[in-house]
Amino acid sequence: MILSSAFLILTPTEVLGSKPDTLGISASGLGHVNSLSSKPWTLAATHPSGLLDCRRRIIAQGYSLSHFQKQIEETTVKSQSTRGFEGGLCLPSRLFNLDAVLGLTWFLPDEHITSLRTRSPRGPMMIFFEDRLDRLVVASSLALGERDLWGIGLGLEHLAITRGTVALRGELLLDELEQPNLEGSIDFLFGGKRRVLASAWVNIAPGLKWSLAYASALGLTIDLDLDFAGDVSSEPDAPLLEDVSLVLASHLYAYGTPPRWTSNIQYETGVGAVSLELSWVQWGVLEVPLPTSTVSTSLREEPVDESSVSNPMRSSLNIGLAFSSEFIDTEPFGRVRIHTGVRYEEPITLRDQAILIDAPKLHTGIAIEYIGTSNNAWPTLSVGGRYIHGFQTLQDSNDPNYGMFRFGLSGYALQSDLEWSW
Amino acid sequence: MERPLSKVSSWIATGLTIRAKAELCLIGGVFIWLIVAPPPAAASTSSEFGLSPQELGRLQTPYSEGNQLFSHPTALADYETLTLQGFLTGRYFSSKPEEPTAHMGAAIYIPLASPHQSAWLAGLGFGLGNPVHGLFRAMGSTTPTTPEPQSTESLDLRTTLNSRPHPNLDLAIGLRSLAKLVGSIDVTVADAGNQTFVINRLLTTYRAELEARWSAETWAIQLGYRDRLVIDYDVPIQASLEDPVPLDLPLLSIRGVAFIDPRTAWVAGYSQYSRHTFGWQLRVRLSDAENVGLSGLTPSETRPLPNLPREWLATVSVQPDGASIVPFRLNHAYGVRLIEREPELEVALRTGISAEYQFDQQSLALGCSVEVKLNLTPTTLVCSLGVDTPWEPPQ
Repeated sequence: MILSSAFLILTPTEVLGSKPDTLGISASGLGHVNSLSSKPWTLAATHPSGLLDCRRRIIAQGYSLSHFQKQIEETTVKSQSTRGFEGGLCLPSRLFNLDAVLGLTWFLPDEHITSLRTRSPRGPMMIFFEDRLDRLVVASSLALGERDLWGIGLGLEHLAITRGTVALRGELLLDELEQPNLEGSIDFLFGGKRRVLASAWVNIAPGLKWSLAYASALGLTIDLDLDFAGDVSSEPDAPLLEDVSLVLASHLYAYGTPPRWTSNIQYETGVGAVSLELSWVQWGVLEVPLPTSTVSTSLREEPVDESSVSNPMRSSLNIGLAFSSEFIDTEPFGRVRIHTGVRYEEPITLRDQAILIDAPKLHTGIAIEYIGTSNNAWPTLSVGGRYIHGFQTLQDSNDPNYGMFRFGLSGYALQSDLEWSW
Repeated sequence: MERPLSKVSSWIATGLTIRAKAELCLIGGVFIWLIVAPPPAAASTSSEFGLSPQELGRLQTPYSEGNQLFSHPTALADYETLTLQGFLTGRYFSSKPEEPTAHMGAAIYIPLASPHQSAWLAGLGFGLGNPVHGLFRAMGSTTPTTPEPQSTESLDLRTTLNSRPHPNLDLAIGLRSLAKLVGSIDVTVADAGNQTFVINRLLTTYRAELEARWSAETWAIQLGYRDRLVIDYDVPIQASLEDPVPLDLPLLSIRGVAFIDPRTAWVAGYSQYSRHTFGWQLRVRLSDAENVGLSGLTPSETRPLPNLPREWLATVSVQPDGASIVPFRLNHAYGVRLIEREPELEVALRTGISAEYQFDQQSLALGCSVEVKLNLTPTTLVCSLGVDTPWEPPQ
């Protein structure tokens, strides 16, 4: 019983998604809002076949900052900021007599690779932003096709899972600072887990391009076990409990990134490109991001299971409209281009619970891309921002601790990139 | 068109000098011996042997042909075109023959200036060696145990930048990245409900490596230093019981070192004589006060980990005249390793061999390294199969 407390009998944790999944990649991606018609070097993480628009070698590096806050009953109860380096590269070549492009995209949070914590007692979690952006993302992709006609692409996004056991054998002393009669061992494996990204596009008429992309689910699982066998004593060789055995097995699912279908149609006008994008994001099929644990001990007759509740998430539909202008000459200063767009996202949680909450959201973004007078000598500079407004929502939960309450969210993201091509 | 293998057959039959035949027999004999007499040793494969076939065949001695991102960051300077490399590398340990380890990996060499052209940023390289069993396995125990082969391997992610301030001088800085786990666990058990607060964070740790190379037309000399990479952990576990009786458990703190790659310095070079290329390297691994293991179970308790001894490795390699065996290229290498382990010096021998077949602009290579004790008992065998291809934009 005592030792059953020694590890994870977890209350919930809710950490879902990633920066590219939530806000896209790059400064121009923040402004553009649509994920399949952004700049080519950003597409390794969202639309592998779109890499074919990369005609020169490009490497880009930027820095991103985002800040979100939530209000419950008009009171701001939580805010969170995330910062990190973000970049990518695309390398065009020929393969199997077709145009081919290799792409790599990364987001490196400033403070850690991943950060998980069980829920502290602070009320419902708004999963759209809480910890969601705060994990490492590395995606690599390959595109094949014929430029200006068609393309297909395949990519992988990588994440680590953890399996570990802490084993303790001997005598656990309750009142001592040292444990001379206790021996320990650990065995932790950080395994790789991958998400498949697949996409295709075709030019269906002059200036009209249709793209379709699919991304499979990805989640981080942590399976941690504690295995104790021995005596529990107040002083050496004076056991209070003899031959105690305890095995605690815990399972945690986090950073769940849902399967996503995205369709995008883009039309080139004389002044720029307009794109309309629809996404179907299947949050409902993810493993429930709540922990489970089982305790088997000689101190109890039956194992104690702590199971999670039913899935509080639902799938959602997103729709975005974006515009990227042609380059505008501003001699003698150089050339600029503007990306802007607006996107609506349905909420991703059910209204009858108070564990995970989310509101309908409107994203609006703008970005400016600047090229100096000498294209080869200076990198392209991009600066972009996005504002996310969550509409006030009434939650009618079954939880007697919360009942009916009104909440909302708001947030913004800023980013700047430098991009070299040669 | 003549098939490459038939070309080799006819070359073996007619085209060899006596010396070349002798070299080939030596290489073939070493190779057969490698195959029939496998297994065991410890230390990460990427730092101990390298991961590409060419690194294994040359025992990490430098040459002017690149393919050595994991051993020599200045190898980026040898590339004129952007090149992709992929490899599959396996390692067998004689002490644990049933638990071989394997890596899949890739490297991208991006030259930004032609060889011997001065440039502040002359090249960029990325390398990835991914153990097949997972990214990283951390094992430790308060009782002395032999590390499992898997626990000596980890993900190897390299980023390398090259600078060439003078046409003959290449400077390179590399970073190896790895993750470390930090966290804490607080638990209260009560009949009214358990309260648990767990923090689990993966942080990035880096290790820098530096190398400088002075190269002329037929020779080069280089100096390098690789910093220490250590992955330690400290997970406090605080637990208390409210029911049936109030009781606070002592604070446990599971501490230890999961992985260590000690500081290393080397001097190396190569030179060409009568169409043969000779490479050499002298490498020292500095001793370290820590080793892999579990160093304590409470915050104040210390169970000292054994020291890592200092090690010396001297290697030479030969690339025979390749003109008569185009499209093949061969390397063979020999080395001796001294470990200053108390109470006596340990000595081990190494040998390596690689064969590379070049077609169109691609190349396919197979390379192996083996380490044996002085009594010729094999301890570890590493083999790698790799492919290189240029990746240039279409004209």
